[in-house]
Amino acid sequence: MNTAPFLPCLPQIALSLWAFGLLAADAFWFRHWPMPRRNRRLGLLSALGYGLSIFLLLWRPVGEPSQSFGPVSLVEMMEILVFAGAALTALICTRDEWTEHCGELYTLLTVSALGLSFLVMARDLIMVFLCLELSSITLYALTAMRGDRRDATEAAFKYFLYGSLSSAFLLFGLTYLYGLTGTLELAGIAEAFSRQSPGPLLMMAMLFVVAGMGFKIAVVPFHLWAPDAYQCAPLPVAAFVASVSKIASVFILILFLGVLAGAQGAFSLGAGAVRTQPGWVAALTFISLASMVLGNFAALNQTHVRRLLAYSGIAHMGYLLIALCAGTPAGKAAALYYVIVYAMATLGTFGVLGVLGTQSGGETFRHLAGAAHRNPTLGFFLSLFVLSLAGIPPMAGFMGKFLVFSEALTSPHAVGLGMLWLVIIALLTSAVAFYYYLILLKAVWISEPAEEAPRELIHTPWWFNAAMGLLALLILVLGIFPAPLLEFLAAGLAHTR
Amino acid sequence: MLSALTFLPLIAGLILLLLPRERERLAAPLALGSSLVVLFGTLVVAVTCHQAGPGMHHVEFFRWIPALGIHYFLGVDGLGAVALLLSALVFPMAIVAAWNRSQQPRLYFVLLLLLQTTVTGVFTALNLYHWFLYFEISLVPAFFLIKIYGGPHRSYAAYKFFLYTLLGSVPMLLAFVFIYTRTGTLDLVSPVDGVSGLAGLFFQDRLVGEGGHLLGRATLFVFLAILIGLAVKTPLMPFHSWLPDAYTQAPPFVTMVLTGVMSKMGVYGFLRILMPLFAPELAAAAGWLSWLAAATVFLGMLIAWCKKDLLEIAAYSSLSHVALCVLALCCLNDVHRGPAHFAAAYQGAVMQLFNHGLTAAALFFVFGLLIARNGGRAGIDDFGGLRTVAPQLSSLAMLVIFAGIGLPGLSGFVSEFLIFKAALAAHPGAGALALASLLPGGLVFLRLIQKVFCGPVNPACAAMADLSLREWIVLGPVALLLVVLGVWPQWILNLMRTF
Amino acid sequence: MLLQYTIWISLIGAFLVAMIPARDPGSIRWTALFSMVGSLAVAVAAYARYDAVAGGYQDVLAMNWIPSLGAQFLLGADGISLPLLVLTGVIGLTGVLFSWNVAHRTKEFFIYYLILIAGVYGVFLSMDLLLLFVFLEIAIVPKYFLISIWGSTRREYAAMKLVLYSFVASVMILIGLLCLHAQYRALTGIHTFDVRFFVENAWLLPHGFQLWCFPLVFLGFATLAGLFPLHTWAPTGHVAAPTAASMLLAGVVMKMGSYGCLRAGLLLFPHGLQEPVLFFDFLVPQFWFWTFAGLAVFGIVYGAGASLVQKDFKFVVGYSSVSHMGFVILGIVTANALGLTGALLQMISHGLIGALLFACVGRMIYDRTHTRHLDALPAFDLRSRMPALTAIVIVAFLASAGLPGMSGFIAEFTVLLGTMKVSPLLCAAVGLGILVTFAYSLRLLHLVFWTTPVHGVQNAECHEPLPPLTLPEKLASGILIFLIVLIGLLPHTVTGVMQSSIEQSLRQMNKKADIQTPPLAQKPSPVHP
Repeated sequence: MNTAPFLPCLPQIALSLWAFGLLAADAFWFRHWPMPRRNRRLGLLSALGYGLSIFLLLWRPVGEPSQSFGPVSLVEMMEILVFAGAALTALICTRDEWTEHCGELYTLLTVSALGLSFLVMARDLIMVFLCLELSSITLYALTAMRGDRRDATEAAFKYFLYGSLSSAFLLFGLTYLYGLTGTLELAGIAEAFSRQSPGPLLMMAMLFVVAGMGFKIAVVPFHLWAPDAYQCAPLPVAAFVASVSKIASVFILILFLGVLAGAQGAFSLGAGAVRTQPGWVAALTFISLASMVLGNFAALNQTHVRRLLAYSGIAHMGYLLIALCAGTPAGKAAALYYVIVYAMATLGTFGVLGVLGTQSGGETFRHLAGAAHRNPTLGFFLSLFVLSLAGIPPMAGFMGKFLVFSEALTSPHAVGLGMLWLVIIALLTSAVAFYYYLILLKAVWISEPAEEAPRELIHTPWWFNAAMGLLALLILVLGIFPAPLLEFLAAGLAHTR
Repeated sequence: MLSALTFLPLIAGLILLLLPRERERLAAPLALGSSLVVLFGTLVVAVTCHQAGPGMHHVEFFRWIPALGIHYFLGVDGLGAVALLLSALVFPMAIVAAWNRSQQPRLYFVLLLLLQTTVTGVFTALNLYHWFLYFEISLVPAFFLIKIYGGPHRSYAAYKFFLYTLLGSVPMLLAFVFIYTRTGTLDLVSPVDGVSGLAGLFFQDRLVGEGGHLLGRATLFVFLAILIGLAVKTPLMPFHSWLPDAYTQAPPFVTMVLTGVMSKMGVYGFLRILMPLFAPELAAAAGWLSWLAAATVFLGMLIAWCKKDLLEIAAYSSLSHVALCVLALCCLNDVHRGPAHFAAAYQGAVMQLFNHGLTAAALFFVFGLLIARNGGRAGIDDFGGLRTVAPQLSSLAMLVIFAGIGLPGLSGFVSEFLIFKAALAAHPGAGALALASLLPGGLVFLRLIQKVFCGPVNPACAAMADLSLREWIVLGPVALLLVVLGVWPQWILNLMRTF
Repeated sequence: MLLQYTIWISLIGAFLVAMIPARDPGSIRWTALFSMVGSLAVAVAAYARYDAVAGGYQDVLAMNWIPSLGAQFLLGADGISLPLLVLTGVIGLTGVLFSWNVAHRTKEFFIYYLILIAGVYGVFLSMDLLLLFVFLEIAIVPKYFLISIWGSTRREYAAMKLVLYSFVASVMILIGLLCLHAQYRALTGIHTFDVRFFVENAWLLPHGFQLWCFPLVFLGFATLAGLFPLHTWAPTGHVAAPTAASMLLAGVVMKMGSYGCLRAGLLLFPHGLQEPVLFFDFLVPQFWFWTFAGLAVFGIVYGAGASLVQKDFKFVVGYSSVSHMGFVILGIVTANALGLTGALLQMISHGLIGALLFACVGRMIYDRTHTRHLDALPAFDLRSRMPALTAIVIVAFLASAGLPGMSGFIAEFTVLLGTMKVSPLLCAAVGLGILVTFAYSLRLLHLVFWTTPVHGVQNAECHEPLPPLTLPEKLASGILIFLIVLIGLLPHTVTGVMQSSIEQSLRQMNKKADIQTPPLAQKPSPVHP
């Protein structure tokens, strides 16, 4: 049997086997273990599985890439990020209080991660759709995993309704693309567009595609599910949705926009030669603007930290879209860089929050008051993550924002200083964001805990601290030395179609 | 030499600060020692200056702030020597007068010594930057001397004194800044070859065409700004209202210094800065300025006549006498009357500066003694018949008072004569007004003599002690000097010959 | 490159402090002290080694950082930044000495403190504007924690206000910076943030661009410097901050703002100040000069006037900072050598004096009396019970008022010299400010030391023994007073170093100023005459 076509998927195959093995082990072996230990063991095993697949990914002999899968370097990187993010999520799960159906949890999480890892490899419209659905459907289920809570069910239902609607949009858009070009492959579509003017139907297609992807990365106006889902889903699931899922989705969005770049100039909103601006840029600009403004201002008076992070996540995706609006190759690299460091910081924030929140009885500012003192190490890491999200140097979040804005100012889609107005609005809203992030830090470090609140130190195992520390270190290093990653991303994107 | 004279009191003051608290009694001898050394040094400077003739002597020059072209530039000429001599004479008097001060003596003498440093600095500085520096710093010790040791309203008086003087200094500072930006230097005269001084620059500037190109249209404003600064310090009439408060609230032995030396800083400024640099403007302003000065002279005396308090009388009469110097200055630029007239007016001004410094210091000293002996009561009705109770004190006091009135044979006469002569010639109206001040002046002091020293003995001061040895040491030489100056004024005229 | 160690030593100090267990505050203090002494020694050594005659950047550390943006890790100091580095070291050192009694969360305090100092050093050392911005931002967060954890009066409000102002200011700066970068990229095709490149090619910038980009950057930095009306963070922030933090805020953090105004504002946009602006059909010549100079002068008078009516000792000092920083801005916008020298001197001078004042009120008085209210302080009879403290406060306030012979006078005098060259009218207004400055200084001294206590305020607490001045307090006050007097009497120690650098910068800035708008400018600016 010729194994070559399966080689690129070797890690995924191994991971799915591992996941089902895990399910079986839980059902037959760990079932009678006391709860925290069972959960912890499963989580560590699950993380080990991701580690194994990363190892396989690096180890496998690189074969001839098939039609559906792109060349490896950047894609490999994306897969690694997905796996590593999922592994961290699994580690976060081990600290979570909720442990009723842990076997199912880890398996479903793995399936979702599998969907995302396939998504970054997909270069075919059908594949893209299938992968997105695979990951989304498992996430709906994961969100509702806490059947004992009504709000979780409600959130999952909301998530599901919006999700299926946007899937329909996406599918609709994809069929248009197919109808226009007669091919399902992204490369083929791009080539077709470069040969002939696609006409206004492309606009329709793109709007639907953007709507579908916009749901996945939660930008205005497709964001309504996010706050509820973040707040009510189990914390690790929320972390996963907020980070890993966004990396993969942004990556695929970038690929779609790359296809459109071939059709650039074919139609425009402006009339004269001076302000030629492709229509999709206008749409993205609008989405970006709305996300930044609405996300940041809505986050301003949240008291539940996860809702705050949800809204701020919306705003972050708005910033990211600015780089995509710029339409330069460096802009795409900047966007990818942005989403990677955003995901790291978010994952870290959720991780620490999980520990502090479970031990403090809730995740509102009131519950978390002074919580950082109960574990100063994690508190310190949390500060780094939050400052990165706020865009304070030397954390990577700053560098991400800086790159995005710098690219926007040199955008070929606008005259002179490009989208200066957009950058100004972005920076002003980032001042708003700075305020609420600071409130969060103030809560955990400065506010006095309530009388009845527990004050004893929280113990966390060394591997958890190490994982969070690694994230924090990465954020610092990527912020201080962004050049290697940036160059890698730029070179990778140049070769990825 | 001049630097040493300037900084010796400061160093002595710092040493005093290091004295342990139980050795505080050493403060006065130490301070006196330093001031006597300064006096000796000043005499040496004056003599050498006199021998060397016109021009600047004992020049010290050093490029202090190269970035701004500001030099540390010292020197004395006749004018400087007279002023320096005055301050060197008054300070030992003030120190001996306060010999037995019980409340915080150390700080008192430190402040006094600091004041001496700044005053000496003002009288020797030839660069406007550090001239102004000393001019301003002098406010601080004076302020604290009033503030800490003064009478019941000392706070009010101290603040008024400080802020009022500052109100004048700020325009003056701005004027100096403006002069600097136009000329690039603040040296009053040329210190070394190749470096131009303001006097030379302004002189050349006036020679060219119509003159006044250096400062342009701002010349008038600059002149007025400096004038205001000096007029507040001197003070002249509309700017005088700080004076009665400060002079009466300060302890009398501090007022000795305030009126004897510090008010002379203003007069000195007129002579040293305004006259050489702004002669034409001064001449143009002489008309109204002389009226201002004459009004101060006359009204000051008139107010003094109305007052019943020894210190207030002394303060207002002091105001009047100092304004005479300014009146003399207004006659300086009367070019039509030739150099002799100029010389007479100038000599009158400088001599009045010296005489009044000495007389006023002695007057406040005497009044301080009287008030202290009378338990702090200062009204002229609180005294009476002192001539019989304390004959030595009374005679010396009357000598000082007569010198203040300007009785021939005593020092005041010569200078006042010179000034009235010049003023009547140059500005008859204003001169006449100033001359008229002699009437209330005589009345003031005669009434004073009558009420305080003659008449029936006031029971309150029946047991008043006569002059002690220490007080003799202060008053004796001063009285002698007053007489000597009156009968042989030529030596001081010789000393100031150089201008 | 010697000076880079100022940053590293501070950061290593912070790291070491973090490693010391919190139950050992003694070692923490000594570690902080040693790292401050070390960084000060480095700064002083560099100061001594600097060739003042040659001027310019002499010892530069250049490394690639983000090649795609042209950002470099570029550290160096010229005559303009060197004195500020030494100032940072001095304030940092005395701040540690005055914080010797911090007992609450000592460890965290010194960690934040040292990080803040490192950020300040970095700002003064950066020759790459992006790097400068990064260090500027690094300094923001520690400020927040220092104030909101260890502060007093409305500390959380004040801390939030302060950092939000700082952040908005840095947003303005960042926008300007990005535009500048993009503009040069469009004009020359070169990606760089090197400030030397910017200064040398400033004449290339279209005048219209300078006209809006200059005020953006300048205002951003001026907010940090406390320019009226963007100053409101300063009094509340200074008052709320713990002693060492308010010393740093007034002493060096505000100086980062004014340094930026000079380095990244004035020198990079030579036409920004000079161009006329069409304002409601009326062509205002030198629009931004008049705007900023007017605001600065108004700030001088306003700050002094506000100090005159405060009831809280620390607010007096807080507003006085606003007033003094007005001189710095004024000196900078005059854009001549005298004005710049004066501005820099005033930065140094106010750095020392402001730090001393805050140490007086925050540490030496408040920590003993536990009140700063001017009505309550007389009851303690400080004048007779603590004569040394009284002397220090009097010296500090006289210095602050600009008494000749102290650093404040020569600095303000030089600023006046520079301003007089440009506009005598402004000088007259400044004169008013000087008067009010003396007035509030004297008023404060009177209220604290010479007022008879109001009867109702007296309570038993006032008569408890006041602890005498400690050795660290005496030492630190001594250092500051010595420097204040030294600079006042021998300003050449500072001006000597900066003179040729300032002249060079101005020469470069005015280079080819007569060349018209370069051909590369895309469109004629509507406001160009």
